[in-house]
Amino acid sequence: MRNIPLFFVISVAVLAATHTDAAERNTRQPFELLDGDRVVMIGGTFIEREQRESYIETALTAHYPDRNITFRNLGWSGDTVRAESRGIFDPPEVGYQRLMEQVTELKPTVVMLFYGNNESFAGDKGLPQFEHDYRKLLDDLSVAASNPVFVLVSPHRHMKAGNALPDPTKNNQHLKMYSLAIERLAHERDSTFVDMYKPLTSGEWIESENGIHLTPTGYSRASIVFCERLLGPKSHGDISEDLRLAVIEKNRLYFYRWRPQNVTYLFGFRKHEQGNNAVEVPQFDPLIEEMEAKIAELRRVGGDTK
Amino acid sequence: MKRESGVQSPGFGADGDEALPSTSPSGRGRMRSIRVRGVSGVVSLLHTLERSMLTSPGRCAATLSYRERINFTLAFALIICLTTSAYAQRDLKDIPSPDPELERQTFQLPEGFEVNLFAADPMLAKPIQMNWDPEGRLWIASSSIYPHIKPGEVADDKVLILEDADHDGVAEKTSVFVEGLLIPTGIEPGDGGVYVANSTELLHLSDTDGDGKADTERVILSGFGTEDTHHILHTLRWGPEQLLYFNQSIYIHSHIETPRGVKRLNGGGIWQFNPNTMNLNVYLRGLVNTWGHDFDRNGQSFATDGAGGEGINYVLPGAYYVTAVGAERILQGLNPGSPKYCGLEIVESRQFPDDWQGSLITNDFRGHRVCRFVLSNDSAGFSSRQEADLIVSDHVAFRPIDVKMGPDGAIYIADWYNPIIQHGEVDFRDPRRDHVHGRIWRVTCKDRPLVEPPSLRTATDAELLDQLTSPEKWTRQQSKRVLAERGTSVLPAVAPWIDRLDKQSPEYDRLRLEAAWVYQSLDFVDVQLIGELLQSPDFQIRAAATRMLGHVYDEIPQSMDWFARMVTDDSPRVRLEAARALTNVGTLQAVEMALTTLDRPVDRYLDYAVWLTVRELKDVWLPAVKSGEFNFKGRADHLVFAAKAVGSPEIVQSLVAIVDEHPREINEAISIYELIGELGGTNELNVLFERALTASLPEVQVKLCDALARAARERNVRPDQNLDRIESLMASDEPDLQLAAIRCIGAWQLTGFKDEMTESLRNVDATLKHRQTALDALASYPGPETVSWLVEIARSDFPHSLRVRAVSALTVLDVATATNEAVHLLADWPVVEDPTQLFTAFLQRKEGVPLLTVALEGTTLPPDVAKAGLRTVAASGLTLPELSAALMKSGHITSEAKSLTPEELQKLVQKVRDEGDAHRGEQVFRRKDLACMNCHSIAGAGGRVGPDLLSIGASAQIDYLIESLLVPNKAVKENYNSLVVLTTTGKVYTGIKVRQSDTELILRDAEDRDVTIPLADIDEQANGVSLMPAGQTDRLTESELVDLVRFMSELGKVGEFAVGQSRIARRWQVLQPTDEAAYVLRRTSYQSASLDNAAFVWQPIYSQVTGDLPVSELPDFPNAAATKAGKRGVSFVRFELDVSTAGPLQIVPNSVNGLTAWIDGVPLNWQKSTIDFETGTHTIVIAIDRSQRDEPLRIELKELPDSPARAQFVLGK
Repeated sequence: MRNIPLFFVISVAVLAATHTDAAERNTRQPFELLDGDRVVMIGGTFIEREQRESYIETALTAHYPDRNITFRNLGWSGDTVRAESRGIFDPPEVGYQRLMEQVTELKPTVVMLFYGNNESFAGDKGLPQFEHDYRKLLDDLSVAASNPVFVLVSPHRHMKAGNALPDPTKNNQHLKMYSLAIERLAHERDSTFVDMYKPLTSGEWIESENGIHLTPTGYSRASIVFCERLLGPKSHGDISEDLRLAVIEKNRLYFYRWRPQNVTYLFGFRKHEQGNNAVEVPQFDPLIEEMEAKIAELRRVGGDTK
Repeated sequence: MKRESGVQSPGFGADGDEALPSTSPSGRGRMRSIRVRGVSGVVSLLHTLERSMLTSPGRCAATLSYRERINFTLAFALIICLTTSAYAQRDLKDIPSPDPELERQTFQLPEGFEVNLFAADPMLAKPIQMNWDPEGRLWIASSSIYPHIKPGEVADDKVLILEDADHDGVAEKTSVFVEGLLIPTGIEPGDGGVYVANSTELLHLSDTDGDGKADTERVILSGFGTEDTHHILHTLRWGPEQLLYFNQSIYIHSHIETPRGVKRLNGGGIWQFNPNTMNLNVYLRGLVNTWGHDFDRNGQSFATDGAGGEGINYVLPGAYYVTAVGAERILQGLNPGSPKYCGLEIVESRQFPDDWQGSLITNDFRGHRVCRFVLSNDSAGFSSRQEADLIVSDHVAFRPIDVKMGPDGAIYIADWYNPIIQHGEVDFRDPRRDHVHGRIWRVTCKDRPLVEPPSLRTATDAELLDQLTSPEKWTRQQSKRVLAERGTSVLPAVAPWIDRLDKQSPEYDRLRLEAAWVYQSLDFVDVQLIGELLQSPDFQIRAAATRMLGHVYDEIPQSMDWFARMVTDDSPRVRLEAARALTNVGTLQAVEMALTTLDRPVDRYLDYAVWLTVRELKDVWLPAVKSGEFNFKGRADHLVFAAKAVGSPEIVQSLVAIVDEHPREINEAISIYELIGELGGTNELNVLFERALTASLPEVQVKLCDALARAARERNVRPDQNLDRIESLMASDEPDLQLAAIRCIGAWQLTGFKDEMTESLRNVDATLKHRQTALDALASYPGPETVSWLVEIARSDFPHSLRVRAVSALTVLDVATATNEAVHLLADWPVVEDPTQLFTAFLQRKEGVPLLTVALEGTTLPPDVAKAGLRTVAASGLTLPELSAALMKSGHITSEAKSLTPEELQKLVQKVRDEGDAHRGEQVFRRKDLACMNCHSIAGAGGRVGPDLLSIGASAQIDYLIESLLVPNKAVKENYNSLVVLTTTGKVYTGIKVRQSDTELILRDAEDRDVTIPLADIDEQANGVSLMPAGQTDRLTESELVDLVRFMSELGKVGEFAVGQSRIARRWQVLQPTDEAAYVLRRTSYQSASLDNAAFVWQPIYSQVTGDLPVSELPDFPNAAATKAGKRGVSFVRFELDVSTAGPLQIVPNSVNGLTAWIDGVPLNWQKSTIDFETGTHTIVIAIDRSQRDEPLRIELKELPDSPARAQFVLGK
């Protein structure tokens, strides 16, 4: 362990007294994914839209051809460390509890967190609150989800994408500030930090049309940056398109499963009317399993099923 | 550190998605600590109620699951729920032949119009939205998957393009532009492709290689909610300035990341989006399901609501409408009492007659009608009048849902074609649900030439600008699209085009406005042009330019000078736009200017606009007022307006300072006092108290006392300076002031007055009201002796109502004691009194229900009392099986087992068809003992607790109607679920949510009363059941039930049970022939019935669907003539008229026979054809001489073509 601030030691001690499970931070240094890992990814639009492209998930899958690692993407546009996008009919606090429950149900061994972009608009004034809320999120997840390994991912920069769009200079100052805060948080818990803010030595890797969200090419590049900064240089090899398409399909099916349309009638306050249709929702599970099996097959053979 | 081996759970792996609901104790525990709850909240609150119901501590109802409990409840009601499969098979024979020609033959159009089939299945299926591109191709969002994707089903919904290249009015080609979508609900071509609303995302799809199929897909925005697939992102529409507008509906919660931060919209609303700048704003908040939005030629926009009931809604930018989350104040639609309308298009086409220009076309998709409305200016806003329908049909699958003008000037109507609509009340997988058909109909005017479709893509910039002179909005709008997409290269062409315009033309400013919109779409500002438009002689142009100023003010150096001018404009609409535009400026000066608009006559819209701006800029001006740096330039009225708008206590000292400054008009002073009472602390209330003691007018003193009592009761704040001085007011000669003083004594708990209060209570000569007030005051004294003393009253020989009041008061102090007393009272209840209030008092206490349940054991209640109790339980929205069982046992009520098998139901359905008589059914519906109209309205007249039944027959199948009557909770209309609220003091409220602001929740209870609950007082809230009591139809014979259902099934269908376009008085009140009223009328004249009098009791009564008020149903007062055999007396009825713009109007009775009328107390001369009305609400009282009139009464309101006057009947209960 490196230099650990005193309050961290104290909070560990307090936690140890009350919760033995979470007494010890679960970390991996250097980070690697293990056979049997269940990785849950949470955050805002960046990780939600990753499902459409699935470059990051595919790269991580392909990196370990002989390890069975499964991914569940719980990204939700506009989300923050306070789960502000997840309240639905309830206040964000209930959405936060729901996030805890959803993550817990998935029994994750690794949780990757992609927060900071949306919070950064609050600037310097919002920073202490962000740090407080992020720390609380990690603490709560540790307890709820049986102490998973955390990977804290910083937001990426905004770019100048056209004259009509806002100048990103100020946003980027804030993003940098928030990224540093996330790095400090990771440091303080000995968790893994992935810096997506820092440009490459060869230049900027971001590709975006609106300055803040990535294009498909942007995601392809992001997967390289992400793998190398998480797993080390040259950790990103060529990935098979078949494998990527299978991952995308699995993610689509899982999205129907965990965030179905018509939730008002299926599980919400009008379930007494059409709640009988909710029986269909778990019927996606075998379809997801089928896709997982296909992904495993493609992973083992390097993406070529023929 | 290493992971502990135990962390990894057994069974984890690729297939490890167990997805069981969390049972983690820590998770549950945390849920409990949260105040407002959702799904789990329902369970939790029911746990609480049920658990406290079972007083024996050993038992725990919480082990039952929520579903089990529901089942238990239904089983208790002895109504067997029908299985889905049985349900689905019914009425299958109603599915019509899908032949489009057969469908077309059912269409009735006005003389001179015709309809042809533009396209039909298999060319397209299930069109949801359609929009044209500049080439004149019709783009369709088509979904076969709606309402919900099935496991294993591939999302393959499509965007289709229909082409009619030879312009013969029939599409000859369909192409699939893109497939693989999931329930696309909105579509708008533009920017080299098409924008598509696709579930959580707004996509842009384009074809870069020219093969006619999309090959590029971009996510423009994401994070739209999908909580209900008929509410998801929809109704895409380019505005006149080429901003993209799109809507979401009530259940949707969206969280959209933009380069300016996250934009969130919880609930319904309309978004405004600039795809170039990614600027995203909320343009309207609320409405239920807004599937229609269009702009008129002056840039004002209007919306229709596919689940609302107020017809055309004028969209005031930024305003809140019904259902808006966090709304303190909402705006209403222009046609209250309307059916639901889907789609909206404003007619601007030479193909249609002159008097159709500017008409609004929308669809009553439930009633199979295409409808037309005409707008007129009404002060700052608009009024809307319905005209004859464009299409009427009785084809059950004709579902017009979108309407657009086409390039040839015809009206195109998208027909979703489905016998089943909706998926909230009808099963997702109901086999009657159609997934394959769909039509586009085209309506033309027979003897008028079609418009020649223009070629726009190949036109030069100058030619496109010339198209802005077109009378067709289609042409102008598509030309502006092409110009905007060409980009800034078109700019050099615009100024020369403006220079070439004929300055003398009456259209000059309107054309320049179009040019200014072109500039706006290109983010270019012509300062001089905007300045000139701001000075246009046409107020509508000035209003549009003012709205534009709000978008570009920071690029105009003298913008504040312009605003200073616009806020004092002659036109209230211009002032309104200025007040709203100033919210963007967001400075102290902007607030001050916005308030200046109030210095000239103000209507409801302008008042709302200023209120909204003042609230939105609160953080700008409130700190400045507090610090003393800003005082609205000493304008007390502005300060009061602002203070009321934000309701902030921080402003109250400024109010106290102001109230003393100048002598004020009484009403203004009272409003300031009341505001101080609402917001003030102890010091401010001391000031009020001094005023109350010394004010010269008793009515002012009463208001002050009431403000003080309210502050104590609702906010627990009271003055502290020698409160006993209130005695002087108690000694007043004015009875009202005495009562107000007693209320203060109670609210302040001044125990020193106990003897006086007791004396008042015992005084048999005092009025009942006086004694009640004294009782209430005594009951509010703290301490155990109050309980024993209330018990004493309950057992006394005082009037029954006082004894009941004492027990009701006891429920707050000591429920257990109250229970014992209540059971004694109930067992010996006088027949004439209604025990509902007493039962309600128990239901409103958390511990009341279990205690009452136990106490009833072994007691005997009169059956009518027990029934009243059961009714109260049913109307509470709570599920209380134990209490219901106890009531039935005590009242010896044996419930008849009412179980309908699928066969029985089918038989009943057949009987309704064969034998049901709608006329007899209407009489059943109107019966007092059924109380249908206490909760339901028809065309806005009636209660507002349940849905308006105006077109229920056109949308609901007979089986659905029967089930809704027998099992009201099976399918509840959106917006009509009850909400159960538990307050921190243990009080339980139930009602339909009217709205919720940041500080309070307003519920409408089963009695149609609005109840305000401060959010801070809410401990828990959860969703309850339907407020419609089950068993309501128990007292009907089968043939009565059959007639009732038949009546309901005819409502809104073509025929005599469809409400027409004429504006008829439907909501009446009738004077009850009490002895007191008869005495007053005998002593004075009939005219006194037109004036307020405390002796008069007016009861609601409603016209029949035809608009006739049956005179024979009215109670009458005997008169001289009535003493002769066979002659009747006189009846008095009244209705209210809300006049929004003053001027002459006509009130026309079907005949004047036997009628004498007064307007606001002034005799009305039936011979005079028109009457001049002032703005405001007017009461028209009509005396009906029953010896001369038996025929029904029917009153029509007519607006005159050359009169500015606009009015509506007041609706509701």
